[in-house]
Parts: sequence; structure tokens; C-alpha cells
Amino acid sequence: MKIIRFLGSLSFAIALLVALVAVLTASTLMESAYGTPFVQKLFYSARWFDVFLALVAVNILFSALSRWPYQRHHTGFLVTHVGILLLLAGSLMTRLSGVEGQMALREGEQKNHILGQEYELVVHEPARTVRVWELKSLPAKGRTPLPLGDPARQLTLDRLEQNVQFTSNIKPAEASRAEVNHAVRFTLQSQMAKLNESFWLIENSPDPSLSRHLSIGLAEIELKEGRPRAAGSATKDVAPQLKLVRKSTGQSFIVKLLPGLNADSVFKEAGVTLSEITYYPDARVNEENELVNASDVPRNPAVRFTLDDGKGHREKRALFTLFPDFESMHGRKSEAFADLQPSLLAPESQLTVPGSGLTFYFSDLGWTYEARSKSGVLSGDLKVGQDLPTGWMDFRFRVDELIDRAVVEKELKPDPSMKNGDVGVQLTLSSHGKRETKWAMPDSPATFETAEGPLTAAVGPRSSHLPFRLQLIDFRKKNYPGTENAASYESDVMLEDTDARVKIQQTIWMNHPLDYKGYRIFQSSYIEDPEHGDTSIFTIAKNPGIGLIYAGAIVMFLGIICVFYIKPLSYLSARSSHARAKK
Amino acid sequence: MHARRNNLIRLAALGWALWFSGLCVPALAADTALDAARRIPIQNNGRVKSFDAFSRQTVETIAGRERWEKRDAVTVIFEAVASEDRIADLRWVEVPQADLRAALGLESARRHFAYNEIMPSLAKIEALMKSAKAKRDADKGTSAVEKEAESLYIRLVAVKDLMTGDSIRVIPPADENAGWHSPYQTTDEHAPEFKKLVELFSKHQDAKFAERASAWTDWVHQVGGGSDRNTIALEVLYSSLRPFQWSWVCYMAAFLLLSALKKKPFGVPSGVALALVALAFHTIGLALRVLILKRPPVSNMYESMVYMNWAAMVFAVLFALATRSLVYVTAGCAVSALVMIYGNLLPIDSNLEVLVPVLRSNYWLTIHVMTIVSSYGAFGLAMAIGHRQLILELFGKLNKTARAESAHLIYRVIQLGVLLLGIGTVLGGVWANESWGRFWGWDPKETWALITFLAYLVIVHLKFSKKISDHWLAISSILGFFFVLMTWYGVNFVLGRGLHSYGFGAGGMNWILLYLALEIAFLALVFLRTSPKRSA
Repeated sequence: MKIIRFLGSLSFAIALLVALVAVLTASTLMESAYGTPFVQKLFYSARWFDVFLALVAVNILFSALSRWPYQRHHTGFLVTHVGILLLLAGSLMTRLSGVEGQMALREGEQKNHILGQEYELVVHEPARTVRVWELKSLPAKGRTPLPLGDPARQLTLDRLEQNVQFTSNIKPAEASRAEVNHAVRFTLQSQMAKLNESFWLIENSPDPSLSRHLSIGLAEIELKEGRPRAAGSATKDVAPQLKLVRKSTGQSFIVKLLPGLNADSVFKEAGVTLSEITYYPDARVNEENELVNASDVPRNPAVRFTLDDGKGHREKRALFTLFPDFESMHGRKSEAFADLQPSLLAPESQLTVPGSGLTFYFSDLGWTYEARSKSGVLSGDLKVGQDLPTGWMDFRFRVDELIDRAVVEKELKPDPSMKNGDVGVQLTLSSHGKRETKWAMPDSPATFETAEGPLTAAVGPRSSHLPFRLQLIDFRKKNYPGTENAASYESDVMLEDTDARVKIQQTIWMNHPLDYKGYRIFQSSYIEDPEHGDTSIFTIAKNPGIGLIYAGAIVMFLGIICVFYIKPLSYLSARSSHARAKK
Repeated sequence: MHARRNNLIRLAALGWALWFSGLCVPALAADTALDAARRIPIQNNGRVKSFDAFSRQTVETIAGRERWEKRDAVTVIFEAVASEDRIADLRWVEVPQADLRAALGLESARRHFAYNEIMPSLAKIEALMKSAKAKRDADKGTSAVEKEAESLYIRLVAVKDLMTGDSIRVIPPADENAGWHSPYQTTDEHAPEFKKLVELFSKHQDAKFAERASAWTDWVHQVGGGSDRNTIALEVLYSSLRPFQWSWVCYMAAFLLLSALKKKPFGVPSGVALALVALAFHTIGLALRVLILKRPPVSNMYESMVYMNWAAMVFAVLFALATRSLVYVTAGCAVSALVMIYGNLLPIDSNLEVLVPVLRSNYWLTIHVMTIVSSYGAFGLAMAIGHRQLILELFGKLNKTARAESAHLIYRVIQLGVLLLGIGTVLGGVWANESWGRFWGWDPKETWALITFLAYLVIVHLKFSKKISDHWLAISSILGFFFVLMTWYGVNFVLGRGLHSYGFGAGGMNWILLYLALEIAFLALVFLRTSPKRSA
């Protein structure tokens, strides 16, 4: 009796409310740090959270029961709390038998299943039997046997991790006669860019994410065979070229930018005339904010000219060899010259000087490097542990490893930061005394070779069948005038239920779903593809508790209004504060 | 002592009056040429707006403020367009961060630079942007320099768009849904006329310009069917009237009259009158925004702030009428003035912009946001009355009855807030269910609305069962508002995740922290001063 009184007490209610506030605060903070799937599993879809909410329901139930026999002034309190109970009951119904998933349809395509947010493990045995486990029902820690059809084989789940990713490890080959494959690991550091990260460059790699080249935007870093050029070696004087391509025809026109050039007539065939051509080998902006030439060393080749199509359109242009995107980044120019693509070509030998970069060289004589920046070229021998400046801003690099014969090993590993990667399971198959351990994750199933054939274990989103088929007939997107931003998008669909002989054609758009047999089909997203047809993405949900939830909410608010604003219905005991306050 | 105080008050009043009259000047100094220029329609960011609004936004984007070298934005833009290539040499592109200036090799003593001064460092800017993007793709935080580089790039594009004329889309197309044309990019027969307008304006041939600009505007409306004419008139009115600036000034004055000067015979009547004037400006401002954008005023942080304190003020007036207590109006003026000032301090977008599809013209969206934000208004009001009570307690000016009365005032508003927040949160669920079939999804914003609701429920339960003292009710009204701030601002700006992050950039954290620090210091003072007395 004492326990029942406690369960229905106000102190317990306050304790639960405060605990709920604390738990939810913690979960949102963790969501910010570790991502939504992490907290979904740890909090909202965990069993203990259900128990927590059940305790809230128990508290409300007992506090309501403890007021028996009811009197008129209990109305507000009772109505409010019955409303909350209804709301919680509705949520429970949805939680137990609700369905929610995504369906992606290309124009013309038809499907009858959705992919849910939950993952499942599907094992195909050689004997063609299929077993399915929901990942959330599997324990994350400890070895769990997964019973198969063939008792001669034992499959066990070793680990279940939320964030697994492929990592490629580069190692020196153990066999001394392994193929020569050079690799370097170095750490780039910059205070200004808040960078302190280690990178690999490798001569030959099976993994496309690893290569001999790395672009950090600011500079190009590469691994090359050879030696740095001797300092001060003269670059050949080759005249820069101005190239004009007519995009519609593919014709290109080139003129060498030599002193005293009169190019007025050169591009006649291109349908334009160029005048006021000025070439700047080393373009700078002076104090009067004009483009001027700082020297004859081609550090920053640029050209300025005026385009004229002879029909009254004139336009001034500036091109930089080092910044070919200079023009395209600024949106369209005049439509009269939209078909022309001008560019300034300077011979490569001239550009190696100003192009910021770092090259690691290997050769029979050992490892060397060359760091290029506006301030000059640094070069020298490389040794592990060296910490050297690059010359770009405050960047430095440290040599961590130099390998002559490297091998690449690919491995699935849990990501300690819990941010990257995807869900993964580690499985061990034992059969006939042989044991093998592998990881399986979405898009990367584990395949075990057995005497009877392969056994595959795949992880993927849970697929549920629908009692109808949905076909996308047409997808349309409307933009805000004058922009590429979507103002709205909509899909014409055909829903077909062969059992009930029902066919419905309807347009679904934002906030205008299609309802059928308790399922609601919503327009949720899209992928534009002018070549193969657009893909429309629908969310399909069945929410059986929604009626109870709505009813509960309405009842609850009526109750709150009674408690707050209708005095005769609002106090709990005859000696309540309100009664006294009235005196 | 007393005389000195009075002098101080007079000085403050004089200062305020001077500042207030300063506000009136731009509104009165009408200039026909400028006025005609303001009304020229232009298509920008998916909407036909006034040239005035376009210019203000563009100048603000580039230079970081609405006026440049003390000249009106419209004048700045017209002259920039007229000067053609010399735009690139105009030193108006803001590079506010010293680290970025150093990284780009720009002069450290200056804040504004010419396009041509920055362009040679474009590769560095792009490099910083690339590394920011890479970090973001890897779900890592970006550095301040990288973020600044991204903003700078947007400024450079804005300048370039003026140079090429790409953003001057003033010629309406024959087809309604097509984009508008720029006279600098088309051979349209109307292009020379606009160029002529620009020339007249820059040569200060005002009379001629005003006449031809009006004719141009009439022609544009004729092509477009005239539907934009009213919108543009309202938009020009909105930006020249500055209703929100007026209203916070009036709120501030009303608050001073109703608090510091209420003993004077003129204090209360003039305070109430000013509060009503402020509310009128406030209402006009909101109404103009609704009429211009044809949507309810709750779609971004700025609008929700303006709407929140409007709700607070409306509740204050209603409660004051119902209870005959002026405390509500005084507290309402304090909250409104404070929130309005914050609205101007925070680096949030106060411009009039269009919406992403999921937010467009939806009944439930509007209702749920308006309900929830109005509950913030109620909680803000409770918080302000809580401050008043605690301050008066500190000075020993509240007896037991007065304290109980004050606590009751607080409790009444908290009740309203709880009801509105509860209904709003459920309606948010209704919207979610109607939009994507899920009533509740533990999205951070909705979870925080629930947390706030639960926190206030604790207060309501304690008060209902008489387990909380009047003193602690006042304190909890302030603590409760911390939860409101987290739901309202923190989820978008601090947690930075979830579905409700449409268009809410980042920033202003320092100002919010300043508020929190002051509030915590205040509460500490309350604890130090009141707890020994209680034990005695």
C-alpha cells in the first residue's frame, strides 16, 4: 500500500519529471556530439527508455486512482491526466505496430516495399535457406551464436558496431623481394588553418582513396620519381598563348602573345575582334588598384583584353593562368559572348615556379623533396623525423615514414570517433574445424567459402512489404523565379492494389500525401537526373496510434484549461489553497 | 542626493530625446530622385523586390553595413553600376577578420578593401574554402578563418555580379515564370533606357531621373500585371519607416517612465501611452512584413524574435486589463525592448526572404510555430516580473502580501505559457504527421520544446501543491527562461543538428553568453543577500 501511495505521489512525479529533463538534455547533447543513430539506439529506442515512460504512466495512473471517490473539483486534474495516459497509449501502439520507411522511385519504376531505418542481418546458406536477424535485437557485446540450418556449421556474432569503416593500412612489405612501391607518410601542420593531420602518398595503390597525389587546395602535393631541379636552372622562354574556344562548334583559335602584337584581326574567324590586349607575366595590383606588371618573371601570368562581336557588344576580360576558374566562379558574363571560352596558356616550364606545391622525390640516390611557394623553392634530402617549412602561409611538414616496398592492406575497423562509417557486424564461421572471421556492413557483405558453396552474410536496411504497388509516372520541380532553388516539387503516382482491385492515380506534393489503407505516402525528397529520369523519394508510414494521440492531446488540453481557468473544477482537496484564497 | 538623481534622469531623458529626433530625420528628408530609384522593381533571390531592399542587402553583404560612406545604399549601388569597371577599385569589400587579412597578405590596419586588391589572393581564399568543405564533409568543425574566407567569397561574387550586371535583373520577361533580365546582359530593347537612368542618376540630373524612373517603374508594373506594385510600395514604406527601431525606442522610454519615474504625476500616463505607441509601431511592422512576404512572420530567427516580444506585449496588455496591474506593462516593455535590441545585435538575417519548400504556405507549420513562439513571450514576461520581484526583495521593498501578489502574477503568465507551449508542441507533432507521417521523432528542437514544457510543469506542480515559496517561484521563472533560450536559440546555434535548422546561420553566441553571465551573477547576488536572512 505504501508503495502504491509512493508510485502515485507528487514527489515521485517531480522526481520523474526532473529525471526526464536530465535524460533528454543529455541525449540531445550527445546527439550533437555523436550523431542521431547513436542516441536513437542508446536512448529513444532502448528498452530502459520504454520502462521510464511506463513509470510516468504508472505514476499518473496511481495518482488518478488515489483520488477515488471522485468529486466535481477533481474534474480538471482527472481529465488532464487521462489525456496524458491516452497519449502515451497511442504512442505505444505506434511503437509496436507502426511502419515507416522510404521508397525511391525513378520515373516509370514500380515497387511494393519500403526500406526502414532499422538494419537487419540476412544470411544466405549454401542450401538456399535464408535467416534474418534484426540488428537491434542482437547484443552489442559478447559472442552470440546465430543458429543456422546446417548444425555442422556454427556462426557466431563477435561484435556489433555502429560506426565501422574501411581503412587502408600501408606497411613495409615483409618479403624483401616484394615489388618496389614507394610510399611516404607525412604530417601537415598549420596554426592558421588549424591543421595537424597525417597523410599517405603511395606510388601504386589498389585503393582509389590513396594515390600519389594530394590536393589541399592551397598546394599540390605529390610523390614522384626523380630529383628536384637544380636551383636557378633557367626556364625556357616560350611565349604565352591566348586561346579562344567556340563551345558550340568546338573550334579553337590560338594566338601567341608576342610584344607588339596586333590581334585585331586574328580572331576574325571566331566572329569577334580582340583589342587592347595587355599581357602581364607577373600580375599585381598596385596602390592605385590597377593591374600592373611587377616583373618579367612569369610568376602570375595574366592577360587583359576587350572582346567585341561587331554588333555593339563589348566586354573587358581578365584571365589568369593560375586561376582558370576566375571567370567561371563569377557566374555568367554577357550572353553575347557566352559561347566563347577564353583561356591563357603559359608553358608548363614557366608555371612550376609560381605553382605552390610539395614534391617528394624517390630515386636510386634516395629520398629528396622540393617545396615551392611564392617566396621561392626549398629542396633537400628527406629523413624520417624532419620538420620542414613549406613556404605556404605557416604550413610545415614532418616526415613520419619513408617506405621503398609498401603493401596496402584493407581492413574494416570501428571508428573510435563514432562519427564516420556505418553499422557493421563481425562474424565467425566455424565448420569442420575451420574458423574464419569477417566483417559485414551495408554494401559490403561477408562471404565465407564452404565445401557446399558460399555462405553470405549481408547487412542492410530492413525491407517491409506493402499491400500495394506504387509507380512513379512523372516528377516535376518548380523553382523560385530566376533561381535554381526549389519552390515546390511533386510526383504523379499510380497506386495499385491487385487483391482489392483498386487503382488510384494521384499527385503527391509537399504536405499533400496520398492515404491508402492506413498508409500515408508523402513526398519527401528527389534526385534530379535529366539523362535517366528523375528519382522521387517518398516516405511511407503507417501510424496506428495517431487517433489515440490526437484524442489524448485534446483531452489533456481541455483538462489543463479546467485546472488553470475554471476554479470549481480545479482543486484537488477541499482544503486547497484556492478555497482558502477565496476567503 | 535626490537632486543628483533627478539630474541624472533629466540627462538621460535629454540624451534619449536627441537620439530619438535623430531617428526622425532620415524619414522626413524625402528626395524625389532617390524615392523614385527606391521603387524600381528588381528580381533578386527568387522574389520581386524594391531596388531599395536589393541595394540595402547588397551593400550590407559587401560592406557589412546598410550605408556606405554615409550615403544611402541605393545611391551607392547606382553609382557603382554607373562607374562600370571602377567598381573593382572601390574599397568597400569588408574583410573583418585580422587573421584572414594576414593570411591573404592584406594590409592589417584597414577593414575594407577593393575587389582588385583581394583578387590576387583568390587562390588562397578558394583553398581555405576547399579545406572548410572537406572538414564539413568529414563532420569536423571549421576554423574561423575558413568561415570568414567563405563569407568573403560571397562578398566578392556580389561585387562581380554588379560588375557584370548579373544581379541587376530589372527587365521583366514576357513569360511570367521566367527569370528577369539584366540590361547589361541582353539586347532587349529596354536595356538602353535603364542604362540611361543609371547615367542620369550618377550625373545628378534628379528631376529628369525621377520622371523617367517613374515611367520605367510604371512600364515594369504594366508588363508584370501590377501585382508587385503594392508590395514594393509597402516595402519602401517598411524600410523608411523603420517600425521596429521606433518601437524599441518607445518601449525603452515607456519602461523608464513606468519604473524610474512612476512617482511623478506624468510618469504612469505617459508611460502607458508610449507603451501603446510602441505596440502600435510593432504591430504595423509585423503587419507590413506579412503583407510584403505574404506569409506569417515566424520563418526565421529575426522574425520569431520580433513576434515573440509582440506576443509578450499583447499578453502584458491583456493581463493588465484583466488584473488592473501595471506590473505587466512595465515588464512587457522591458522584455520587448531587450529582445528587440538583441534582434539587432545578433548577426541574423533581418531581410525579407522567400522560403524552402517544406516551410511554404502551410497551415500547421504556421500555427505551431506561432503558438510556441507566443509561449516564449509569456515565459519572457514571467521572467521579467520575476526580476522585478527579486530586485524589490533585494531592496527590502516587498512585504509578504506584495510578494505573494507578485508571485501570483508570475504564475498566471507561466500557466498561459505552459498551455501555449504544450499546444504548440502537439501541433508541431500534427504538422510532422501531416508532412512526413511521424508525430514524434525526438528531433532536438521538439525534444527541447518537451524539456522546456516538463521544466515548467515541475514549477506548475510545485506551485499547485504549495511546495514552492513565492521567492523561489520568482527564481524559477528566471531559470525556466534558460530552457526557453536553449529551445529557441541553443538548438539551432549550439547543437546545430536536426530538422529545424532551416536558414538559421550561426553566430551571436557571445551576446547570449553575456545574457547568461549577467543572469547568473544576478541570481548569485540574490542567493547571497537573501539566504542568511531566511536562516535567521
